[in-house]
Amino acid sequence: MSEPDPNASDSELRARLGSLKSAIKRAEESEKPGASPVGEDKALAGAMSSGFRAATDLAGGIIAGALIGYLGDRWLGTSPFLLIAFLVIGAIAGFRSVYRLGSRPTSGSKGGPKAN
Amino acid sequence: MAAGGGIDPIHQFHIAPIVELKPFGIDLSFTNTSLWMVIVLAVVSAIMVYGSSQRSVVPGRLQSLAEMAYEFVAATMTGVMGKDGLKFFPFVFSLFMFVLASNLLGLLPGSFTVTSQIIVTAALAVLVISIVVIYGIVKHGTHFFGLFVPSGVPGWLLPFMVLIEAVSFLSRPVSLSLRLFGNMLAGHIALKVFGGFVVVLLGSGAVFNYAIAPLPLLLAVALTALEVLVAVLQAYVFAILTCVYLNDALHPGH
Repeated sequence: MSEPDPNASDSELRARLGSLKSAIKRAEESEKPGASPVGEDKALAGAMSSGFRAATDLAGGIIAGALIGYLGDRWLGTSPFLLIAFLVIGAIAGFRSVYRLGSRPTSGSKGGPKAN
Repeated sequence: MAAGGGIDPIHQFHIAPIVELKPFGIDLSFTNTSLWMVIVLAVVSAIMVYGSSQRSVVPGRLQSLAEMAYEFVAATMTGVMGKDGLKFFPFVFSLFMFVLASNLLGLLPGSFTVTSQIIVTAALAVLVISIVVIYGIVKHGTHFFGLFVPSGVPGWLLPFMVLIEAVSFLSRPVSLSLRLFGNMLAGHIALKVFGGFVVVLLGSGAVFNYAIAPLPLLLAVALTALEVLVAVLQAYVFAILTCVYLNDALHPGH
C-alpha cells in the first residue's frame, strides 16, 4: 500500500475509485423506480409472472367488459347492445394490457412508455 | 365421494359451516374457510413474532426466514415503486405473507386452501384497488384520472382510448383475483384427479392396472413440486402487481 512509486499508487487509487463508482451506480440503480430486481431466480420469477399476467390480463379484460355490459344492459334495459359493445371494448382493453406488458422497458429507464 | 364410487375432485372446495351463526338473518357462520384463515394468520404471526424476538446477529432458522421475507418484499417494493413506496410496506407485506401462507398450507394433505375461493381472492383484489383509488384521489385529486389519458394519441381517438383505459383499469381486480383463484383451483383439481387415478387403478382388481398404477403417482409427485412453485410464484405475482397498481396511485400520469 505505502509504495513510494507514484505511478503504482495512482493506478491503485484509480482502480479503487472505479470500483467505488460502480458500487454507487449499482446502489443508485437498485433504488430507482422501475429497476428490475437482480438475480437469476428473480429473472425466472419475473418471466413467469409476466406469463401469468399476460394470460389473465386478456381474460380479465373480456370478463370485466362482459360484466360491465351485462350490468349496464340490466340497468338501462338495452339488452343486448351494451353487452356486445363492452365485450369488444373489453377484448381491446385486454389486448392493450398485454401489449403494454410486452412493450414496457426492461431496464430502469425512465423515459420509455409507462411500465404497467 | 361422487355417485359413481370415484373420487370427486371438487369436494375439497366444499365450504362447510363449523359453528352456525345467523344473527338478523345474515349468515355469519364460522366455516372451514374461516378456520383456515385463522390458522394462516396464526402461522404467519407465530413465524414473524418468534422470528423477530431473538434478534441475534447470526440468525437462527426462523429469524432468517422472517428476515428473508422482509428483505424480499422490501426489495420488490423499492424495485417497482422506489423508496417512497415503502410507506405501503405493512399492507403489501401482510398481503404477501397471507397469500403465501394460505397457498403453502393448502398443499398439506387434508387442509383447506383459502385462496381457492374466488370470494377470498376477489376481496383481496378489491381491497388493493380501493386503496389505489382512494389514495390516488386523496393525494392527487383529479390529476389521478390522468391515468386514463394516454399520451401521444390523436385527438379524435382520445375518447375511445379513455374508454378502453377505463375498462382496462376496471379489469385489474378481475384479473388479479382470477389469476390466484384459477391457479390454486386448477392445481388442486389436477392433484386430486391424478391421486384419484392411483386409487381407482389399484382398486380395480386387474393385474394390468396394478402395473400402470405408479405412472399417475409419479405425475402426482411431479405436480406437487410444480404446485409448490406455483404457490410461491402466485404470492409473488400478487405482491408485485399490488406494487404496480400502488405505483399508479403514487405517481399517476407519467
